[in-house]
Amino acid sequence: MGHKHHDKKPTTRMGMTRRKFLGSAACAAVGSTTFLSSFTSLGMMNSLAAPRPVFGMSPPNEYKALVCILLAGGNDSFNMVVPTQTDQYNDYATSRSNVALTAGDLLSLNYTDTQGGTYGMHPSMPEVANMFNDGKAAIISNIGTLIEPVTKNQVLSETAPLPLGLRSHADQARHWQTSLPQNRQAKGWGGKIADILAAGNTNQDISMNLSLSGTNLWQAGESVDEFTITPQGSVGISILEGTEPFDVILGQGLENILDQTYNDVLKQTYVNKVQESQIQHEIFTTALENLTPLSTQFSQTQISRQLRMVADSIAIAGDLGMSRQTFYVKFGGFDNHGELLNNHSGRLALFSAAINEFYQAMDELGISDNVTTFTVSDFARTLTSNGYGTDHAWGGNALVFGGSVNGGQIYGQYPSLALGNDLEIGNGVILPELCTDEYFAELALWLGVEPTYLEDIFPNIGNFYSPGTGNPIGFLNI
Amino acid sequence: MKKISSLLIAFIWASLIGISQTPHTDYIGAGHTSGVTLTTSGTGFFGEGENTINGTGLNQHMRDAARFLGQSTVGANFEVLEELSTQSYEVWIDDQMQIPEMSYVDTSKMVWNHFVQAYIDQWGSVLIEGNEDISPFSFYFRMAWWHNVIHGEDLLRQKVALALSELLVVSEDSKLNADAFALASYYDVLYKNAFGNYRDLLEEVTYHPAMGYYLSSINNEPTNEAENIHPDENYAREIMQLFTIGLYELNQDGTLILDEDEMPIETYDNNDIAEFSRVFTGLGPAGYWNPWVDYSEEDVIWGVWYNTVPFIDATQSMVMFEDYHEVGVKHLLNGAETPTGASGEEDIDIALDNLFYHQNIAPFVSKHLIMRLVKSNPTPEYVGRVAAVFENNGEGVKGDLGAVVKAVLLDDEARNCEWISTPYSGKMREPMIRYIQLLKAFDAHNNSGKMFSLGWNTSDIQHPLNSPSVFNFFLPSYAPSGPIADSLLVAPEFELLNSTVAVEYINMSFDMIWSENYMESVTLASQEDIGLPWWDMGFFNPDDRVYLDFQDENNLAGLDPSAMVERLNLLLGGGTLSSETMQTIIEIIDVEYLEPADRVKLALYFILISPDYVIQK
Repeated sequence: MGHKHHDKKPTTRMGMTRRKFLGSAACAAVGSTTFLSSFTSLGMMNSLAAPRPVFGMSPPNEYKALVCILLAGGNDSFNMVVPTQTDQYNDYATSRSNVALTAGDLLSLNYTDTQGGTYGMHPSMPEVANMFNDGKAAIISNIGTLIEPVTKNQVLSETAPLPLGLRSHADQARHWQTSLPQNRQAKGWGGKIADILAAGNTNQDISMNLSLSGTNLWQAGESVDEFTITPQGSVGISILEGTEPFDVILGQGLENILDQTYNDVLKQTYVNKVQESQIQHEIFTTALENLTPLSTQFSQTQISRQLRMVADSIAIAGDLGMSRQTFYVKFGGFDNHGELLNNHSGRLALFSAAINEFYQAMDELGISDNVTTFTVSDFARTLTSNGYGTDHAWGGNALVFGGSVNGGQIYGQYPSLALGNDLEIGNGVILPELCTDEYFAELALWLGVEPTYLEDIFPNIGNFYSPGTGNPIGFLNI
Repeated sequence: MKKISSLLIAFIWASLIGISQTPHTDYIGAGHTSGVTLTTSGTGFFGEGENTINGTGLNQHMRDAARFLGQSTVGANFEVLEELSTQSYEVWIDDQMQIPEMSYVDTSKMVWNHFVQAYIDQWGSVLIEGNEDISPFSFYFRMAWWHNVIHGEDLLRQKVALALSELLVVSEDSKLNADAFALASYYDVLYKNAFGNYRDLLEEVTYHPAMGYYLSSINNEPTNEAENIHPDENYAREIMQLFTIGLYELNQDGTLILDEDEMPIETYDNNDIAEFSRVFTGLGPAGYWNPWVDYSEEDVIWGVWYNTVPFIDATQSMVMFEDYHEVGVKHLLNGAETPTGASGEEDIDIALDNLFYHQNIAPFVSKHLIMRLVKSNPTPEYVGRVAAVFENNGEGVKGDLGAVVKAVLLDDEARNCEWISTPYSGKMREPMIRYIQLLKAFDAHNNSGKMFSLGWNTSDIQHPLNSPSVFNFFLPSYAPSGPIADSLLVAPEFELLNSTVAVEYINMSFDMIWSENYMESVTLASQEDIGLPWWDMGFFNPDDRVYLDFQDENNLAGLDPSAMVERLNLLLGGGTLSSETMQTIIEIIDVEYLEPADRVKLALYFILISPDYVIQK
């Protein structure tokens, strides 16, 4: 340990002696790897596709944003929204055994479905329960990834096309972000929406897709990628902000290094990312500096801090030249194979507080009708317990928030939770009846995508809904 | 930031009077071409006169060795490079495999004892019990990890262990953050089996309490139909999907086997997962552990609430509680099954064999190692050659990781320099590897020898054993939008490179270099300051403050800036920096009135942020 002392000569001189006894073939010197060469054999020039013309957005000028919150790991959503009508609750309690919530703890929701079913919210979500009862939140029930509608018999006999990698995290989280579950190469549906709508934003130098949680598939389209910011704002290259001569000279050197075109796709991708990041940062941070802080108070939790920055970003949308935006926030901690009850309660409590703070901030800005927040998750979890927690399943419940939501209702039929029913395919895995395509298509239409583009974004949509025939589900006021 | 002023003056001065080049007394091979002409020099590309003059042709064996070290180590200094350049790589690998192993558990305990003892000295033992600040949280493992990585000379084992930690994933981003010794013991399993047999590694991982906790196979109970309780499926699923065979049947070259409809064939379904979940029932802790109370004689009772980290002794393998192991035949893959009446350990043994002798495991594990060490997009032929070694090491043994590692590194596709100029070859250096490499290349050192670091200032992005889920820091299938995705290539490491990370790396490089604070070790707080927290950053203590050694580079920078840049190319860039990048840097730094140390800093900065460095070819 400690400092090693070297006694060495310049390397070039050492090499001269080495050369004599090292006879193996030496590598060619690295030649011109910079400057775009004739390397087109892999079809790389496709990425230079022209930006899309402005079309497909209605109405054109009004501001609208979608906020996607990924409850990562697989939210046990049959404990988030629980049936309370006696027979229904008894089925729930029998199936869930030692992970069932106590009926008396549930927060009542002012809603009765057509079958007379009543429901309660998880006790750690009072804010969400209030928003539901105030008509600012809706529940989408028994939704999941599907290619086409299938029956229990078709699933068990494997006689219908089913999503790839059912009940696997990587695949199901992917499918919720692409809504194309027969394909592992698909782009994200938020990215595809941006491919169409981004041209309507007056500023083309900053992405319409902002992420608080880094790279994600949902916001990755053909021509649009996410711009990642932090709860403190965007991050820029610090020396480029300096005005001292040293900073300027260093900055020029940096540009010489990074402002090159490479035929090496890995190098070019790295350079693109740095350049795009810096350009977008300069636009974003300038707008953010001019923002009068919102008076709505946010908690100091990570999810609240992230949603506060989403609120700030929406507040400066005009300065950014954005009339359409999407935001992505990943909120983890839902893969509770063990210690389900405590962990789940903790995560839902943080989520519930944060979503309410965010809604208050939108209200403060006077644009709560223009911002819709929705949840996605890998899957719901098995109704049956593994002793301490629950395992990966399929269909479950999602939440939608905002002033445009026809709230206070459950959309889709909340399923029977009795084991052995027509939708239970074993171990308490529930076959979904609503497809993610229907859920997302409604969000896309609300954001302003013309119905004729839905099939481009959601290639399976025709299996569930005919574009142009009203709302796919009806939870949004479009 | 004091050094900036002299640099600044030099720049201004140089620009005012128009000096851009230091006058040199040129010598052949020094990298200076002005005024020197040579028309021929032997045969072949390197025989070109220009290359003899600029030194390229003379340095090629060093460049080859540097490229090899970029693939095979987490970073290496100039001595290692020089030594390697005079011997065969295979001999070097064999020698590396013989270096005695360290222990992450032992180092973690040494680090923890160091801080605990100081606490006892200050406060007396009475305050210790229940004091959370000196509980063995995961940062003691972090400090041990950095201490070992900086001091360790087993560079290849370190690299392979790190690669395995990205395959057989557990993470401190869980309650394992309360148990440094669980993490350290688990890392020891990866590290000590790095050149062992994958079957042994798989078994040690399966029985390790850190994995037992992370994928909830500890305390896993058998089916209870009356209560609608089924065995936990977590480990059963991920051992197949992530640790052994993956989702689809593979040819030995890693390509998909297709059915008559040209569709891939699933290796298992959810029924198979349920069957394997019955195998992994009945495992519980071997004993309990508490820093302040001796529980070693305490009997382990199945199912009590404290049978989890950090209350269990997570340095001992889990043990089978037969009463809680699910009895009966379990149907495994490819028609195999466990026999009636098999014990829990026999069931696990048979199930692990079932996966280990599956045809997929050879290409699955081989491709992972290729992608961590060498390149993101190996040809099927490369995968096939390595997988064949996994299948049979030449002595009829399957799963010999030492032989596999050798095959990965010595393969023509890893070594042949034609791949350097192939526009899709290579990989992005992982952020944590870039940082470790810098410290290793320039001999991070301090007086005390205590390299007790917590990482670096953006290490929340990537730190050993800190991935966000069992799916590692990035998916092997990740393809960033643009030319990589359009070409149906992958570049997994780019999943980490979002707009924030890309820029923070550039800022971090700047801050480290100009603050000369490359590694924030942790030191004891001074006696006057002691209290909670009772440690400080290392730069407050002259004995613990970490320095890098740029003496040779500084010397060279005064004599011959371009030779200094070439040296950095060897130490960091694997000898593959492009001539344009090197020329750009030389033009910036080759200014007469720039201090040698400032030339080194500038060159270091520009190399670290350059695509030629960030992308390992």
